Amino acid sequence: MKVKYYEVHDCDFEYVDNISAIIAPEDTDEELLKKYDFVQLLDGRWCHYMTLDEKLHMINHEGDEILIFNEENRIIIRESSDDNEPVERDAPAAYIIVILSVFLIIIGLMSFHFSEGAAQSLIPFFAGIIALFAVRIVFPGNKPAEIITKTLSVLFVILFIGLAILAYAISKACNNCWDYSWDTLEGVGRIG
Amino acid sequence: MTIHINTDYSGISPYGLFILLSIASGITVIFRLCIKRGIPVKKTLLLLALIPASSWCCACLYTFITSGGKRIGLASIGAAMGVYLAAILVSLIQPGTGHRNIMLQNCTFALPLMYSIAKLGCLSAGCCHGIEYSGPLSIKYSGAEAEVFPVQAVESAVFMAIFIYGLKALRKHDPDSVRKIILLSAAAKFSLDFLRASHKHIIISSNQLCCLLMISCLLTAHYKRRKKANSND
Repeated sequence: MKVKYYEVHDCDFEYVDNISAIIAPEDTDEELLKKYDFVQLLDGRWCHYMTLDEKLHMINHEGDEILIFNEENRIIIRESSDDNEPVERDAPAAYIIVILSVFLIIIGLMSFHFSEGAAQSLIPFFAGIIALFAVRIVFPGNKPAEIITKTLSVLFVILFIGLAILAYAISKACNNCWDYSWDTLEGVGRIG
Repeated sequence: MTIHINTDYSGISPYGLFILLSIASGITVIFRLCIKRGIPVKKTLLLLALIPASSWCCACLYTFITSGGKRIGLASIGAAMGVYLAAILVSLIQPGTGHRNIMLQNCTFALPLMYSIAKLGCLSAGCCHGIEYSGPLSIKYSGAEAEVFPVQAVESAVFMAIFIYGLKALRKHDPDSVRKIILLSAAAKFSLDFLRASHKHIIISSNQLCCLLMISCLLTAHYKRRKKANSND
């Protein structure tokens, strides 16, 4: 099947790595190809990986000799899309900050393990935590930030409960130790 | 002829400079290749923003894990994983069908250059040095008694050659260029690891295990792909 993809004519349809793709003819202007989201494969050919909408358009025109993508049917293709993701989830800045925050937390934890001064490691750790919560506030729809902050909150609660249990166990052991030593002292006194 | 290298620095460490140069050169190559091969500029810049942090963090994590939590440092395999991780993360942040593969391929082309330059930093600092050796071009570090094999220089030269070969293969539109670079890099790292002082008294190092794993995964994937292509025919 021949494909006319906007200003790129005489394209071929092919599966590249099991993905539906449109292959541009050789010697097509590279800047034109980049404009229409074509990428260059290792073998030198330029291909455009079809979106779901474009694949549906192809299925709807399966019997046509030439599959045509132009500005007129671009609007129809877009309108038939059910993609209604909120804009804030797509903000790349949010994802970058989340990823860098995770790296800061990891570096903080690792340097806490090795450094003598706790401040040196706590700074990147808390900077990461603060950045994560900032993303939660500014980009409330960002899923990774939501998942990571909830996970960290659960971990902190578990850590807090664990510390509380440990403190209770230590205090109980100390009380037992105190009672035993008091009894021993009394015994020593009686001997005396 | 023995080369004397002074590792007592009063000013800026050459090691740090070489690491920065390595990242900068890698980023430059990845940027050029991404733009040339049609990746949008915004996505490319996202990738470049993530690579330094990701490679640094993964390099530290790698040494932390492989040393059993005893130390942290920079490891090339960890840094390579970090570069690939950055490409995968960018493709998740801004999905674009096929872009992830292109970015991963471009990272593969740049990694040998980054490693080659980083090894010059190791040469200047005296880390990752070679086995005891008193032949031509042996190296004697300040404060050390024995001369050692210049394994860092050899690694730098070998990986620079792999990088140049990779670029030539890409220019010739060789569809197997990425596979060949990975195989050559893994084989070179595996072989040259035997010439390191750290390899003394051990049969196989963690780096070599990673290289073997990489080679076996690549060969398995290649075999499966060929089998599928033959069955389709």
